[in-house]
Amino acid sequence: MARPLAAAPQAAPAAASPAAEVQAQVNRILALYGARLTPEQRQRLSRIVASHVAMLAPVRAAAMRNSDPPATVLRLVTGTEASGGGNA
Amino acid sequence: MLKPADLFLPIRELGAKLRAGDFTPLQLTQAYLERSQRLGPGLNAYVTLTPERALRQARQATAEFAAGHDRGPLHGIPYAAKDLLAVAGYPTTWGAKPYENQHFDTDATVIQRLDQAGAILIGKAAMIELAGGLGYSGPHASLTGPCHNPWNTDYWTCGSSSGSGAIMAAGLAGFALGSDTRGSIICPSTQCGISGMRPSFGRVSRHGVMTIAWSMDKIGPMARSADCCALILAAIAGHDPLDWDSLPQAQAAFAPPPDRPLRVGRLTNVFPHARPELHQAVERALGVLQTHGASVADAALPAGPYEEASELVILIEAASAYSELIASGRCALLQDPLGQINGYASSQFTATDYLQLQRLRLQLARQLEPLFEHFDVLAAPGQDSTASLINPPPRPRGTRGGRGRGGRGPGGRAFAPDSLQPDGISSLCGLPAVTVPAGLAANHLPIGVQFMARALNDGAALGAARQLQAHTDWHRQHPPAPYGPADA
Repeated sequence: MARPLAAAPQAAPAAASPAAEVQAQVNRILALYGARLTPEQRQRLSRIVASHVAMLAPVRAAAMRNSDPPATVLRLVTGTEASGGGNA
Repeated sequence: MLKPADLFLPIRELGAKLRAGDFTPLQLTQAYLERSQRLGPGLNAYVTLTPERALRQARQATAEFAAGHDRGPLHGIPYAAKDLLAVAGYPTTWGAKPYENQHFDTDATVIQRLDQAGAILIGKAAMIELAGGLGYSGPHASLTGPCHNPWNTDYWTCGSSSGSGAIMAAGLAGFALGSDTRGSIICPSTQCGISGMRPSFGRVSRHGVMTIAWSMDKIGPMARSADCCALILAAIAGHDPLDWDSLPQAQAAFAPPPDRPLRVGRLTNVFPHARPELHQAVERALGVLQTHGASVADAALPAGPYEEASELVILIEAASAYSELIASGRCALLQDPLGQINGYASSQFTATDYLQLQRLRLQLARQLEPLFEHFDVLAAPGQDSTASLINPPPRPRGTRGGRGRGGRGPGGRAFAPDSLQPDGISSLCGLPAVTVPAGLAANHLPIGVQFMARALNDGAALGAARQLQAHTDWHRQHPPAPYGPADA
């Protein structure tokens, strides 16, 4: 049976504990860039990643309908706009 | 005859003196250049002065006035541009060591538009490195060192348009351009005691401008009055096919609307931890507006993770904008220890998280919109504090730093997840905002009041500020010697 167009908004359930997500991200950063970082910078990175994950929590908790669109659109390129689009 | 106090006049009054023959554009430019050379270095206000270009433009403007050719209100007015705007023939450093020798072979669109309006570029204003795009910890995060606040040089101007704020407060130019991704015009304008404006998103071209976050970057005026801001916006606004996010001309163009009685919403749930005198300043300002015909009533921003969302959008888009700097490791050349590593963390966000943010962003904008059915503008303190010390004393062990209860977010911008700040919301939703002086705090540093309006209703925000300034003289207060007009 088809669902109504305006299905109730739903929040995505959390997939991992925040601590596990922080550790996974830190591990990935260290795998990619660890050789560049001092011990002090590694510690600071862990704190930065933890703050990112904490900030994401209320964003991820926001309930969405399947059809809720993002504030991003494809603008079709036509005529004079074909040569533009860059900033600095 | 050019008097020292003339260097602090608003654009219309400067223009009247130019047209009356009291002095020429060349004399005015020479006076601002001399003052900028003399006082600018002590404030770390400029990255580069552009005297050759300025004097060439000034001679042209002087000749045009003599021939009766008048380009309009900005004709012959010297200005400074934040050093993220490309100007051919001079370095465009983005305030950052990795780009200190960067040159572009064309001018940014807004520079071209100001050329057409007859304005005279006298220098590139200092700024926080990359305008804080990869994060920063404080005032020292700049190629040119911390920018000193002319009201008290122990204090910072705020950022990231730090030089533009210092230049205007110290009377070093007739107006300045800044950029605002989330508060980078509003904060330094407020804390330097000048008038500043963040236009609606898409109204002013960013072609030739450094990108932090494509969906949030705006260019706007920093000046002596809201009326000055309106004149500058009218010159720089308009569609530009070279900026992908530029609005169609019918929406982008701006002409100041006539003043009319406004419906003002007093925001009751922002900056809950600000000192009472900052909210009292707003009350004084609203009292003035009410006396002169405005209606004032309480208003509250809807609940939502605006602060988190605005900060995260910036971090994620900046990680893409600076991907080369991050991948190459040249981010290590930045001054700020946070900026040196923050990009590594910001590169780890997922596409799903970014899309969730962009979906949430539309929801938040739609929640905010009904407020503007009841109010033309929403009023709040310009910031939640006066200027901060450049070198604060060490904190006692076991205490946490920061501003209010929120402190600074991982990107270094003022961030308070437990309370709403107008900057986060209005930036996220692309709304215009104007901040204007509202007196001095007990510590003799400037306080401001800001007016935020519905998207594309820039005229209402400017109108509220202009009506306030028609009945007050807070915008005519200037710093003490040697940066005020008495010793100019």
